[in-house]
Amino acid sequence: MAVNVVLTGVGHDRVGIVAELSKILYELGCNLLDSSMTLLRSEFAVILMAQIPDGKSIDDLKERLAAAEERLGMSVFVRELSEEELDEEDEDAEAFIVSVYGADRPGIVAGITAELARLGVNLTDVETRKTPGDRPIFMMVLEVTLPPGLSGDNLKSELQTVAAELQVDLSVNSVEVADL
Amino acid sequence: MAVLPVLVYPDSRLKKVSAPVDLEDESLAGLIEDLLETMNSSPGCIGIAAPQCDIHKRLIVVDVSRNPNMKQKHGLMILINPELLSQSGKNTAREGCLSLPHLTANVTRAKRISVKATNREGSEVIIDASGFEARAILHEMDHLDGILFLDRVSSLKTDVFRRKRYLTGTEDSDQGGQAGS
Repeated sequence: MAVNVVLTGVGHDRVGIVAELSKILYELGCNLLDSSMTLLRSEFAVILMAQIPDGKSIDDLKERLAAAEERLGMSVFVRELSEEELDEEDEDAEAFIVSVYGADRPGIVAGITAELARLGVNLTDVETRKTPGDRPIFMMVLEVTLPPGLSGDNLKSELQTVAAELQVDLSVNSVEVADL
Repeated sequence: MAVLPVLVYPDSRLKKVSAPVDLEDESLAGLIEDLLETMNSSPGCIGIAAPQCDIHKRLIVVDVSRNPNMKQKHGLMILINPELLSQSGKNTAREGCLSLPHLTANVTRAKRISVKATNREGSEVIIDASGFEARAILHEMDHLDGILFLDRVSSLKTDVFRRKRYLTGTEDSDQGGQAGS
């Protein structure tokens, strides 16, 4: 049976990382499933799922990646995925965008996400950014799904309390989907 | 007449909800002049809201004709106590803001709006605006309720950008350029 794996890696950005990484996978006969790759300032990060073909093993993949590690400039970690782990998140859960911003200071992410965890809210996407300058602004945009029984309005009022304590501004918007 | 200092986020005064303008207020004419002078002092600026200058009254000025790359039909608008009557359509374009000088963002807003307001002469006007003019009015009206464009973005990666050039008025002209304040 084919083996599914998740591969993660971070390395200093340069031209050709994705090309070289995907070439290794392709030459082994792997099929790419989902991936997310992005650049944060100078560091390029990869999270990728792939299927290793029959007759090849996770060790074959690890071996080829290890051989290329220095050239890639990226330490890569590979782990086998079970069938359950391959499943998509619950797509029926209602999604919201939580936008948080304020004068930069430590504790904004920890404070907001602790409250979200307490409420049973799942984070599906997290992005943060700090602006340059003398008075930097810290921004965080979260994509979240709510547990049964928690409404968008509840979420907003619970988060507003924490936001006030942290002296940040916050808004909660539902993700509008236009069915066409 | 004076160019007023503009509040820059994270100044919390930008998040206040502004109070209606008293049309009998004798300082109103001077305030309008100051706002116009403040807008005109920033190249590329096509609108400003009174609360950005720490005057928490429902007054905005918009003049899209200041940017020759943008389509407009109303020229200079001075809108006192503006109220959104209707909006339709959706459109996403890049906005800048004097109060968030390091950032620009892709913001989705209505394509067409109808706004009721009082003009400088004290008469009630109905403004039907579209495109960038509608966007500029909605952006400035948001300031009256303490809303900044960061409240209207859904992704930092795809919607929010560090500003590389400041208020030249020509950046991203294919997308309509920079919105006002």
